[in-house]
Amino acid sequence: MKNLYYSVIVILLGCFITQMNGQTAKIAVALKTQGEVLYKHADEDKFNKDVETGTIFQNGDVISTDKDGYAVLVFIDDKSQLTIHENSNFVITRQEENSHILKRVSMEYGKLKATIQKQKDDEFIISTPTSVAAVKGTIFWVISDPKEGDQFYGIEGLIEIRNILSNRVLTLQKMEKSTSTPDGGLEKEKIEDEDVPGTTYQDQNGAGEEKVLRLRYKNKEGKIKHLEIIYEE
Amino acid sequence: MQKICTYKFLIFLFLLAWRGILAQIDIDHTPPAKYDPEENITIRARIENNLNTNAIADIYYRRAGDNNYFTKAMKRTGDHFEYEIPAKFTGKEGLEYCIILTSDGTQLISSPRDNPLSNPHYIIPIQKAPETNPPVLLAPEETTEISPGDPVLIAISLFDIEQKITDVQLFINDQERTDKANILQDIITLNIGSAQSGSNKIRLQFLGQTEELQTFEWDFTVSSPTRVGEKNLNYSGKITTGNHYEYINNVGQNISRLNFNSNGSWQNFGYRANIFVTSLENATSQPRNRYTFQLVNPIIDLALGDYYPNFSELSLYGKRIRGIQSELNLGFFNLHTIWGYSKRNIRGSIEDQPKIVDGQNIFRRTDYTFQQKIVGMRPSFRIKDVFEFGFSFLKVKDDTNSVNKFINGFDHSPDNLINMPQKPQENINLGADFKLAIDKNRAVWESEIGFSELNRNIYNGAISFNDLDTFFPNDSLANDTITIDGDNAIPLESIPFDPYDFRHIFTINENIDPLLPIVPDSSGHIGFKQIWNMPSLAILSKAKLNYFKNYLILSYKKVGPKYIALTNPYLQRDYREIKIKDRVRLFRDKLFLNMGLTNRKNNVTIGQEQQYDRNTYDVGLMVYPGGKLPRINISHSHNIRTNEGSLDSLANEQGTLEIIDTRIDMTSFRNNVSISQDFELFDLSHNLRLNLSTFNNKDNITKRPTNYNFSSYQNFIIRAHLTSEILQESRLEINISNNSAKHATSQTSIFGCGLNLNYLEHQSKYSLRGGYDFRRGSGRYEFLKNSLDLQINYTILDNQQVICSARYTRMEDRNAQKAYNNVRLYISWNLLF
Repeated sequence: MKNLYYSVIVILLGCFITQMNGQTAKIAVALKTQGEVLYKHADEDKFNKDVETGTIFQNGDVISTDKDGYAVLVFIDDKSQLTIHENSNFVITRQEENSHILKRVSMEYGKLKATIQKQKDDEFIISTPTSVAAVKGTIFWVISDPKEGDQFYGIEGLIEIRNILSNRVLTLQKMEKSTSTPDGGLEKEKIEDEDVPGTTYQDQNGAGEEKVLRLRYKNKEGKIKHLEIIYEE
Repeated sequence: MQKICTYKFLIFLFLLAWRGILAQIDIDHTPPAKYDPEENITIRARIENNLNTNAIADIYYRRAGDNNYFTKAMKRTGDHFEYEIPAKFTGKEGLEYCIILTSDGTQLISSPRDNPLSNPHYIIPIQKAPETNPPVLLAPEETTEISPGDPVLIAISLFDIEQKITDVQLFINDQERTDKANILQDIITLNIGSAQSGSNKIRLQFLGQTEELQTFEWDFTVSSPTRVGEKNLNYSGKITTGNHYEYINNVGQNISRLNFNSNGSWQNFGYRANIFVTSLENATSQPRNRYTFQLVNPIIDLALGDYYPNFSELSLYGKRIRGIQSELNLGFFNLHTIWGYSKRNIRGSIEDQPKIVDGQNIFRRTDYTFQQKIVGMRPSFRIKDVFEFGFSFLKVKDDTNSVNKFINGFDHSPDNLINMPQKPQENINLGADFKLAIDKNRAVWESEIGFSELNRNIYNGAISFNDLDTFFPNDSLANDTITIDGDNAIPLESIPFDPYDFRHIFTINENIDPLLPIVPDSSGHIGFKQIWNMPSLAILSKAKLNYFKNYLILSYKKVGPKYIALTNPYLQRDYREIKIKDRVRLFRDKLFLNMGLTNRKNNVTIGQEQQYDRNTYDVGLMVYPGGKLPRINISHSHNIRTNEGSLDSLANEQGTLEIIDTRIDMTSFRNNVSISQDFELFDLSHNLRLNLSTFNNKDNITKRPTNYNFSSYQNFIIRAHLTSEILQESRLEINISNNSAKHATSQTSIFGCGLNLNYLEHQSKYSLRGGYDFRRGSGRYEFLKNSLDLQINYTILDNQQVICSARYTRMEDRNAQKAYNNVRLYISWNLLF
């Protein structure tokens, strides 16, 4: 019986140490910020730190942007990027299990663009109060509102989206939009370039938004070419 | 391969005793200093002094620390012997071996000479530095140019470097900046402020585990100062045209459509334009074409054409309007106005055969629709995103002149009466709403209240003050009062207005519904209860709390029996509903728990027999553990429907008593289990989803009269779906399902399976999709259905695409003993600009 006690204590201690180790692992760095962007560690109550260019985030950090907030984060293990827009709040975590890396963005609300590198055996999950999206290397937007639900815009690759309430699942492909609602609805539709956030007039003029300038020209062979310049003011 | 051979060992011991005799023979062998554990190692030896041609050299080898030797005969070439020990037998711990020479079973020498098996040669492996990936430059990206003057962040990931590194040094343009850098275990960052224009070089060097200096270099570019460009007109768009042909159950249909979309911006304005034209557009139905032009800037949003405005859930909620909409956004004060038509007039027809009543021919008009005009406004006051308070006014009115009563040569004739069964209506909605959102939308409270009044027939227009004297049935002209059912006489003098004066706002006549918007109590008093129970009142209140991983929704909704919004025709009436829902996220979003409770009372004001309660309990569990573990979803819904009905006897027309059972006590269950598992097989990624769902309802009252029919229903569905990523972006999907449904009097089973292939090639000009689907119904609905699908998308000239799709279905309706060959064809072309 005594051995059992010792075993339990050792296991609990192990879990605690593993947890501590997991919490302090550095997982991402801020490449760009604008406006009010704050963060806190998982064990802190209040957002008391400004996110600045070069801020290094550790496991479980919570990031929040205000109405004019904007930030670009890059994960240090695979260069996956998150472009966070105004009024967003989410937690970033990374876990390593059996040589697989599981990265997770737990979004309370907000708007972000994710550029996820091919995950091989690893997994990248974005969860919101309404949906869970499993990503294997893709580019997409997610706009989450606990009241209205989520909108996912597929730009490249595939995303599997699951509505938490109804458990309905769909696979979002390139140039498709999925709407996942708090009442369990999950639908998708085809979209055009102009429907994608960040390319519309409103988004282009929002605080900290990327702007897109599209140019069309003819090359020497007379073929029409398109040049897309994404910039910020 | 042989293990140690005991007999050889005995021979060796025997021959060892004769060592002195054989001293003239020698082995020339120098053990290698080191070996590479990942490569084969060749052991060579040369025999000196008159070797017998029958001499055999055996090599004994083992990994250091092993008990047993492997033995092999060495290959002989003249005086030389050699053997290549495979790398897989060498190991990283070190290699032990010896060479033993025999000749005709009598001669022996070994290397090492003394006690070779107990004291073998030992060689050590080469210690290689562990395999490691290079550091990765996270920022700045090598392919991007940095604007002059912009701060530059250097970020280098060391995440994939498995070896221990020391003496890290960071150089920018050959100047060491190590002391300014933030060097951590997995990452190095350095803010260098602005960098010089042109090419810049980053150099990172460190000592690896083997003390070797490792150097990595990257370049990044800072562009030259440029002039800020002027804001120009940006636009983009898409034109799509397509033709859809279908031949279903021997009926053909051809539909063409054209869609034009464009949006863009200039200075501070943006625009969006959409034109949708279809061959289905027909004057005998509501418009299917759509024309929209929208002009947007931060202060005002103007829409012209077809638009879908939202005022509130209770009044205007996504109804299509053709007209003008403006949204003025000034921050604190905002104004949303709409004007237009929600229905267009349709001429309709007139029945050929009249109904003759009292010698008069009554012809009935059918399929007509009055033009419906709509006007509305919603001023609102907003304090940031925290608080909003708004009022709404909405008026919908049918244009009585938009449909001509006399068509097809009919005119005003005393012998021919035209009956217009559908009357022109008018409806007003008044509403107020507010929203309070605090703590960054974590706590939201929204409420709205709406009041409506409907006039079911405005053909005769508004009544005047004098008409009020006979407003209600059986009210006489004599007493100058409004008399309701011979009681509650209201003197006309007490009416402070002439209804006719308000005809432009709302047509008041005997057809308004409700006649009395508010019903006083027996003493004539109007209090809170009377207001709350107004028949044309609707109330909605919702609270949403997003705290502690819980997303809690509480809502209350009450819609009176006379609350009618012509702009929201799908709004149910006469019910009260309370909902509580909670969604909990646990274990870092790996487990989700959903719980819900809904209590709904229907037909609140329509007699007890028709009232019924519906209580719904929902619970769901979703396990999403991540990694290679399966995702599991389990949900259960439990629905109970009851009323206060009774068992009564009623005499029918024949005079016999018939038992009428109006009791409802019904329970239904819905269960769903699904499992999704990713796995690798034959070097391909697959996903398998299994789903099982059941539905069952039952009558909780066991003793029913024989004439009572309960529509019991049981349903069992099982599905399996396999998705395989066969190429980079191509997928093969296989599905199989069975759906069994059992009704009170019949049973149906539908079996289905299908196969779909989506072939996409990255940056390719074309994509293909093909599939086959099989369905077989048995029981009540007996049919056999086979479908083939094919779709090809082809991109032309980078900005144009052609899509062709075809579907062929062979449908055999075995109940009707008929078979159909159904075809759907679709072709479209689109142009991006």
